[in-house]
Amino acid sequence: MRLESIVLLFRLFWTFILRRVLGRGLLASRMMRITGAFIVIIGFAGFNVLSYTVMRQYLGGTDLFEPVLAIANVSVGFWVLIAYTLIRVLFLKADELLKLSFNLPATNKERTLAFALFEASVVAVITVFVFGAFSISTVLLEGPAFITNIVVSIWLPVASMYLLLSVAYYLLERGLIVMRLARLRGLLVPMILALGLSVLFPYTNEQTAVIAESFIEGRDYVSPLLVYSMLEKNFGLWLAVLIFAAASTAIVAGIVAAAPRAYVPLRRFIVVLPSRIATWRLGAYTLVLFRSFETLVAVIFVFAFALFAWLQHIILPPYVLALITFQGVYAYVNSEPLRRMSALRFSAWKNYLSIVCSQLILWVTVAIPVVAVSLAQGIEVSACLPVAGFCLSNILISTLIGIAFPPEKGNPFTVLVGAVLAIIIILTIALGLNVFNLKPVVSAVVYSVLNILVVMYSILGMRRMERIQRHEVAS
Amino acid sequence: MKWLLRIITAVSISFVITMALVVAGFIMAMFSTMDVGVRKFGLFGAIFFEAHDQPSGATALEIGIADGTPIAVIFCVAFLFCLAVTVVLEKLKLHKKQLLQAR
Repeated sequence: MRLESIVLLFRLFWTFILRRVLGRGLLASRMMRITGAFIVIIGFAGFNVLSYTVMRQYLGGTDLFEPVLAIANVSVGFWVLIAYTLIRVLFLKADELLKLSFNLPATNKERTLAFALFEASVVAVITVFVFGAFSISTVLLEGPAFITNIVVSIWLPVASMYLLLSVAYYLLERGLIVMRLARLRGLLVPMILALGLSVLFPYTNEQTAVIAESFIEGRDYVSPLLVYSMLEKNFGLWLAVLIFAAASTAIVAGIVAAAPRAYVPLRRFIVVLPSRIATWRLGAYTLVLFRSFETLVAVIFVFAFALFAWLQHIILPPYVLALITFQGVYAYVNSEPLRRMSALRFSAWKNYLSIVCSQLILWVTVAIPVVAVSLAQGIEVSACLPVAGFCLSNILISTLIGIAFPPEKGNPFTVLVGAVLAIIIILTIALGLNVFNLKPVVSAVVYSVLNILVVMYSILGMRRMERIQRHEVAS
Repeated sequence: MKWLLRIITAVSISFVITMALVVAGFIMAMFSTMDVGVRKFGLFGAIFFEAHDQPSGATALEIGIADGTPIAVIFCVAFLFCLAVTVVLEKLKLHKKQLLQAR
């Protein structure tokens, strides 16, 4: 194994992201790149201000920071596992990106490790964005001496947990190769991670209660999860960092050993619905969506959750259906080969209608049994209607994200950038409209107008991309 | 048609900017006081925030619009700014095209 190859491949993946991804869709224009960066910076500053003001209001001048940090430390496992599940799902989809390196003289192990390094760098960027606001505001309130506490309670445990999960993932992949199930890892890995979450959730809740109790009773709370903060408290920061470095080296060695030598391609499609409906435009789009493997994964997750909720008597409106609607991010890119066919050349709005209608067909198909379960649990029909509105809006917005930031070769970076920008804008609008105390009818009208704008920009975006492909305008 | 699209885009962007300022004003008004029963104003007096004690002992929060004029002014300024930026950008693009053709 050569380190040089790993670094070269790692650079190749980032070069691909920066050159290809930033050159397509909305990010192709320099003005939009600057605006996007500006929105992200403003959003980050906003998170910081919000986090600072909330913490000053509730925790400033109290000694509650210690237990809050202990709770944050104990729940690191749970939150990192949630993030890891999301990242794994996104990166499993990025199998196409890995294929870029197939004609290069590198072994599969080098390729896998370079991809792991690329994944870690993307995760680091996102983590800084998410945890940064909390860390900065805590340090601003409690002074620079608190940096040590933040490092040993949050950053070091997060890094160790991430590395441990990576080893576990590669061991799982090896196990699946041995069992000849590796082609189905797109389905099996998210399910096993979800199972891990359902085990970890009650444990995290229980430990949080224990920490709160020991703080009130003045007892010291001890847990193996707080290893870095205990080492720092008893022996000093140097030992905590030393142990972290030693543990990380050992885990990275474990990752290198566990990374599989053979490459098994992912199963990407599943044959459902008869092929003859492809003669019809909407039928072809419906087949693209129904036969994609991610759709199957999302549908199984929704059904599993509905069954779990039914068995555990969790009575909630069927908001889990929203999980299906996020498929919209890939809807435009996945159906791109259809639009290249001369037999299916239609105007942009007809193609857009097909993309959205195929998603609606999928949604309705899944919604019927899930809503039936909810109704059987005693949830009112009036409580299910807002879910339908929310999901429809979600389909339109995720389709727009997929058009404005097309995730070429299933790369997760574009999806994350698009999602972060969309969430910042949607949260701003939702919070802003909330201040106005609008009547439900007026709110419905405002949100309908916003959805019409989303549809309009999606069609305009598709039309522009088609013109770029025909070289009618410069990208 | 091109102008209609420009105006719709400028309206959308200025709407988002206005909402962002409304949220910022609201957060600042909300966290500038801890006293119950004191009405706090934000965003040049446009937004108010007040916490009441309820008979049950809980604290109810009241938020809303005290005066819509500053918000309307912010929206108009943002709209004109967006429109001006679009026009200037379009002019610059045209100028660049002419310079390239003249070469």
